[in-house]
Amino acid sequence: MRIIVRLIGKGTPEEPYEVPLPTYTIIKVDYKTKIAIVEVPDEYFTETEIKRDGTVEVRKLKRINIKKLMRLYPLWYKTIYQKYRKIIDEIELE
Amino acid sequence: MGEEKEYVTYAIKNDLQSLLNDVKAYIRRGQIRTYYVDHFNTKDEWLWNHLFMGSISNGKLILSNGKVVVSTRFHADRGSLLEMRVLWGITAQSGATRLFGWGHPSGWFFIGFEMIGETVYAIVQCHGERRQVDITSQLPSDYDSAFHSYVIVIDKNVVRFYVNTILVAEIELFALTPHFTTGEGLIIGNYDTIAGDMQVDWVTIVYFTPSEKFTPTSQKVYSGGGDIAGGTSLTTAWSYTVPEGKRAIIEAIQLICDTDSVNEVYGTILLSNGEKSMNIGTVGQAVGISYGKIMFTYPRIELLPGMQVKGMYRNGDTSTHTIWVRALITELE
Repeated sequence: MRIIVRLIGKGTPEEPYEVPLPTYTIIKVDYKTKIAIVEVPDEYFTETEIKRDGTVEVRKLKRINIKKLMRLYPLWYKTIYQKYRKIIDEIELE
Repeated sequence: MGEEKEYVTYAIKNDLQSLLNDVKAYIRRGQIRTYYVDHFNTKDEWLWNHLFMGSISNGKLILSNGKVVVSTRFHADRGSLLEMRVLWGITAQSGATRLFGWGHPSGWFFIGFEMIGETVYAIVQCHGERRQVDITSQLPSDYDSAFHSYVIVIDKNVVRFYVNTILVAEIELFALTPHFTTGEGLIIGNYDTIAGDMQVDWVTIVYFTPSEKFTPTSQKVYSGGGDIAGGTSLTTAWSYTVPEGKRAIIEAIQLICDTDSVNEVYGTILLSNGEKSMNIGTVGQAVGISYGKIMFTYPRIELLPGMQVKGMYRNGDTSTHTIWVRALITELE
């Protein structure tokens, strides 16, 4: 999935420009506006529900499934997400 | 418990040379990754690095009321065996609070044995969720006054608790704290005010290959860079973080930079545990040091949950340079 996200950091060795997500690949960066087009795993925007009959339904979400990321990346959730939640919560699929 | 029991038998040997030979044999067969045993002949400064409030007497660790020892040298992991030979010092009773196992002093993570009031539990606790089994009735009748062997085996998805090699509890491993969390490691504590010292005869730690193997589930090349404009600040082009319950291997890395003679034009790949980073490859020139223009290696580094790999570039020159940072990463489940 491709998303548009604001970079964090200052571009220094101590604080390089980064995307505040656990796994991503930058496709394109506009350094003037500090905005990047980024590829992230599809599962960041899905929700899985197991039905009573045992079938699995995968729903697409418009925003990042933070609960899922909290479970998969607890350290990220405690540190990066708490610090940059405003940026992360704003991320939306086009 | 076949394999683990065998490890324990070898772990308690006193002859160092035969012990090392046995361990080497296990390592050659890929069964053991790390090994340590402390007989408490003296206080081991290297191991008990975080907190040591107990005393040593006749090869025993003595913990009177309010005393705690903690080591952060080793961490709970899937595929680990921890044995402690312990004398509780008291029977389970109102006001009792004593524990030993893998844990964090503040209590948000604990896998081990704990005496709480009139009950002794086997516990797996993580991120506010606690699963416990009452093992009081399964303890030997003299557990308060005699040493017994308490073993915690963390397999891929389950934690098994043994007392004197008898399985007393089996609890699902629903979460495991990522490594390198500050203060997480071995913990032994006597927190109550009831007379009767807690004593520990020895501690043994063995890391082995979990019985349920991890299998590759995905493989991906993480790639970033290209023609990077002059004046580009340091940028993390890609990041990969190992999810909980999985492992990953950095199979290969490839770094390319069209120059290594211009300062601050470089590509680099870092490995991070959330607190500290280590450089596993650089090309170009950084801080006046030239690293060459091409790097292509097969590090085969195994990554644990929470660990992160980052590909970064910087072009501090005034003209455009070609920089690529790539890694082939296999995810295991």
